[in-house]
Amino acid sequence: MNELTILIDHGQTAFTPESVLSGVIRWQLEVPPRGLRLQLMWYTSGKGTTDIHLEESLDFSSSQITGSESFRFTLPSAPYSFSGKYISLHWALELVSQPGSLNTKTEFILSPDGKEILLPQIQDSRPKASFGQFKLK
Amino acid sequence: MAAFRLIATPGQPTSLAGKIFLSLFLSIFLLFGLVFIFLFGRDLWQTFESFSWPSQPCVITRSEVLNAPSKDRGEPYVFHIEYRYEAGGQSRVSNRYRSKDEKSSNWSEMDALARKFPVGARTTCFVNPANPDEAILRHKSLWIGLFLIVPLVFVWVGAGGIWFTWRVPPAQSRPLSEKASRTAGGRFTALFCGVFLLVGLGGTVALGWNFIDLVQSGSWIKTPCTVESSRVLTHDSSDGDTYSVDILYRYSFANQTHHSSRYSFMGGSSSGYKGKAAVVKKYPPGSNTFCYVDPHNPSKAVLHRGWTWEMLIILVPLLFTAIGAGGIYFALKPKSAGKALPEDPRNRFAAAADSSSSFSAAPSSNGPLVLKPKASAFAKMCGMLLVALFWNGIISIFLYEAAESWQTGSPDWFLTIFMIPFVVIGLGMIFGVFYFMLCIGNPVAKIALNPSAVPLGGKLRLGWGFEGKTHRIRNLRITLEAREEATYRRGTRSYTDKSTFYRQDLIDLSDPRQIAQGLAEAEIPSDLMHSLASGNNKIVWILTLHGSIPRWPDVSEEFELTVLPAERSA
Repeated sequence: MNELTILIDHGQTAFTPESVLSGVIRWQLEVPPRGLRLQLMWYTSGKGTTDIHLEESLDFSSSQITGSESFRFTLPSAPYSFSGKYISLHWALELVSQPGSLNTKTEFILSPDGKEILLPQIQDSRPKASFGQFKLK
Repeated sequence: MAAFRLIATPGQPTSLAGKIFLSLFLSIFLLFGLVFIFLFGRDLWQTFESFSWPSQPCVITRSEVLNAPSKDRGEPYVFHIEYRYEAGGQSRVSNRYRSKDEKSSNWSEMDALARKFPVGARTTCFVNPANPDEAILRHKSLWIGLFLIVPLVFVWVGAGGIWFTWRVPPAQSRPLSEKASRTAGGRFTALFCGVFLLVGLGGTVALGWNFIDLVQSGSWIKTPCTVESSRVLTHDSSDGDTYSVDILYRYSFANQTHHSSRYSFMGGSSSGYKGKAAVVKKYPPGSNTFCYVDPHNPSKAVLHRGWTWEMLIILVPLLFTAIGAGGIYFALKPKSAGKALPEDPRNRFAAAADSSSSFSAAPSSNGPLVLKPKASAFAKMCGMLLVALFWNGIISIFLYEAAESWQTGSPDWFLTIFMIPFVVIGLGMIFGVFYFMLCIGNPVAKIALNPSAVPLGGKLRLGWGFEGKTHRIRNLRITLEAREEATYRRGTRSYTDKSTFYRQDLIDLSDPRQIAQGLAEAEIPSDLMHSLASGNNKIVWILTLHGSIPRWPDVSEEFELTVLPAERSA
C-alpha cells in the first residue's frame, strides 16, 4: 500500500509570519521512488481562476520504498491566510513522490494572530463613517 | 521565484441526465463537423486524386467567354473551352477546365483564361486513367483544404466535450504543484483565436487587392469606351437576394480591343436595388463614356475609380484579425513571475501596485507619493472616440443597407431588427464621447500619500488638491475602500467579480475653501487583508474621490494604494 505522510511538529496548524515550520515526512511505497519533493506553497480558491505559488521546495533523493526525513522551512511574512466572498488563500505543504502523481497535502494558517482572516461583506449602500475615524486638518 | 497560474477545471455534470443532455448538445457540434468534413473532404480527395492523373498533349479547339445571364443570375460570364486529346488509342474531346463551368461575375477573369488558352494552342491536359473520357486542363488548388480547420474545430469541441463529460477522473488526484504549470486553457483560447486570425487575414488579403488597385489607379489612363450591356445582377443569398452592378464595356488600348465588366474596385453584391439601378441607368447599352485602363496590364480597367462606401467592408476582416491577434497575445502572454509574490514583501507589494495602478512615481516604503488618475479626461475621450468611430463605422455599412431597403419599398425586417441593439450601443458610445468631452473641463484631482505604503494597523496620511476650476465642485467625498477582485474565465471571455469588504469615509465637505485642498488621516484596520496582486485574484485598496458638480459630469476618480502586511513588533 502506498502511503505518504507529512507530520508538522507538535501538530501545529497555525503559524505567524517569519516563524519556523518543521516536521517529518514519512513514506511507504510499493516501488522505490526516484525521489520525493516537499513543497511549501500557497494557492487561492473560490470564484476566481486558481493561482498557485510555489514558495520553496525540498528534494529528498531516497530510493528506499520506506523511510522518513525531517524538514524545516522559515515561513515568509506574507501573504496571510484569508477567506472572503470570492477568494480564499490557503498555505500548504505538499509531498509528491517521483515519478508519478502520488501526493499528499497538509494545510496550515499563516497570519499575525494564527487565525484565518475572515473578510466581512458590506452593502453597496454607502454608510457614513462606518469604520475607523478621520481627522480633518 | 516563479508564479504559476492554474486554469480551473470545469465541473462535470453530476447527474446522468445532465451528462446525457450535455452529450446530446455536443453531438450536434460533432455531427455537423463530421458531415462537413465528409462532404468537403470527398471533394478535396477527388481534387487530390486528380494530381496523379497522367498528363497528355492536347489542342484547344474552342475558347471563348459566354455572356449568359439567364443561366446563372449572379455569375453570367462563363469561360467555355473545348480541347482534343488522345487517350486509349482514340481522339477525345473535353470541355472541363477545372470544373464543368468556370464562371464569374467579372468578365475580365474569364477573359484572362480565354486569352491564356487561345484556339489552336497546344498545351497539356490531365486524363483520368480509369475513365479516359474525363480530362481536365488545370488542377484545382489544394489551398482550399485549409478550410477543413473549421469543421475540425467543431469535431474537436464536440468529441472532446463528450469525452470530458464521461471520463472517469483518476483515483489519485494530481498534485497541485503539477497543476500549477498547466496552460491548456491558454492554448485552447489561442487556438480558438487563431481561427479568427486566419479568417481575418484571409479576408483582409482577399479584399486588400482592391485597395492596391485603388492606390495604383492614379496613374491609369483615361480611355474612351463603349457600353455593350448593362444590368443589375441578382444574387441568391441565405437571407434574401442581393444585387450588383454589371456593366460590360469595350475599349481600345495600344491598338487592341479589350472588354471589362469592372465598375468599381470593390466588387461583391449587397442588398438595395435602387442604388444599383441608378448606376446602370447612367450607362445604357451603346453609350460612350470613359474608363480608366492600367497601362501595364491593359486588360484591367475600371469605370469608377475612387472610394465607395462598400470599401468599409474591409473593417470586418480587420476586426477579426485584431480580435484573433489580440486574443492569442493575451492567451499566451506569460504571467509576470515577480508580480504575485516577489522575494521581499515590502518591495513586492509596492512593485505590484506600481505596475498595476495609477501610481505616478515609483513608491518607496516610507517616502511621500503623489497619485494621479489612471487616465486624463482627454485620453478617455480619445479612447472612446476611437472605439465609437470603429464600432459605428462598421454598423453604418449594415445600417445603410437597411435604410436602402426601406427606401426601395422592400424593407429588410430581419436586418432592421437585428441592427437595433448594435445601434443602441453605438449611440451610447457617441453619448460617451460627449460625456468625456465635458469632463475635459473638470478640475483634475491629485492625492499625495505619506508614507507611500502603509501597513495594516498603520496610519494613512493623505493630502488632496486640484488643478483647474475647483470652485465648481459643490461637494467632495474621499473614501477608503478595500475589495476582492476575482477574475475567471467563462468560455472565451474573462470576467472579474468584485466584493468590497471595507469602506471608510475620510472626508465629506461642502465648504469651497476646504474642498480646494486639505489633509486627512485614517487608520488602516489591523485585522484585515493587505494588498495582494496575484494573477487572477487580488486584494485592492483604493481611495475614491467624488466631486459633485451641478448640471455637469462629476469628478470621479479611483487611486490605488498599497497596504502592506502588519509591521512586526521587535
